[in-house]
Amino acid sequence: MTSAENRWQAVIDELRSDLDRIEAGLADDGPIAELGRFRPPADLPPLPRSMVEAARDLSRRHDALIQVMAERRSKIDPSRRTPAPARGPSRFEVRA
Amino acid sequence: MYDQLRRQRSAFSNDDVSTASPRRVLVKCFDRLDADLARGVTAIEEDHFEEANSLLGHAQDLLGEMAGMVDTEAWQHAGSLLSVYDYVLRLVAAGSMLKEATPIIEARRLLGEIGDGFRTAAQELDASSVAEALADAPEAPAPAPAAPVDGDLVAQRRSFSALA
Repeated sequence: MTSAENRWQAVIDELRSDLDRIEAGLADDGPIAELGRFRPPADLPPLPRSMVEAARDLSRRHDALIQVMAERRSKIDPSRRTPAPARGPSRFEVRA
Repeated sequence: MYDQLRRQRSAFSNDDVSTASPRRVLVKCFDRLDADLARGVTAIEEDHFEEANSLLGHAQDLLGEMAGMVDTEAWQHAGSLLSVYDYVLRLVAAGSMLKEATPIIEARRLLGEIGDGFRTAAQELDASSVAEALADAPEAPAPAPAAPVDGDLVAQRRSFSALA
């Protein structure tokens, strides 16, 4: 694995476990976890080609979770919106 | 969400595209990609992640199709173009996964430059095709006889009056 692949694999693993945690909470009918705690490391290199499919899968899963959480929240408190992920400076290196 | 995506796909694959020349199809692909990415950035910035995922997913599908359209045998720069498509695809996938607008904005900038090049080339080719078609066209047939002018009508009425 290249250095870029290692760094992205760590990001993907961390995001996946974040989504697992939220999904488990939803399945147990527990309190709804907050999305957006996940913070990738700074200055990520471009996503390696070998990880594009994994990224797309996680993206779809993330969005499905947002939808489920929004539905759950609207049942509990119709006035609440799904919180936005925490934002900071861009975490990407962009190729010159 | 899926209805919206279906409508978008149907709009893209309508007759307008199916009857267009290949270079026009390519220009339409760039136009559509630009629109998807611009709306995807807005959706991320406004926290509309489901919409962002639809738009950016469509952009990735379209990029894959465009990469498949590149004829690596016919064009010496095809490999470079494929590299750019590949890099852009990875930017869009990363931005979509992390809900980050920066890589999407960069992808849009890169595709904008390439798209402008293809648009200019398509316009030049269209213009030269028209010029060639005009040069090759057979001579136009002689125009139909002109309709009688008012003076002729007056003369006809007089002759009819004379017969009556």
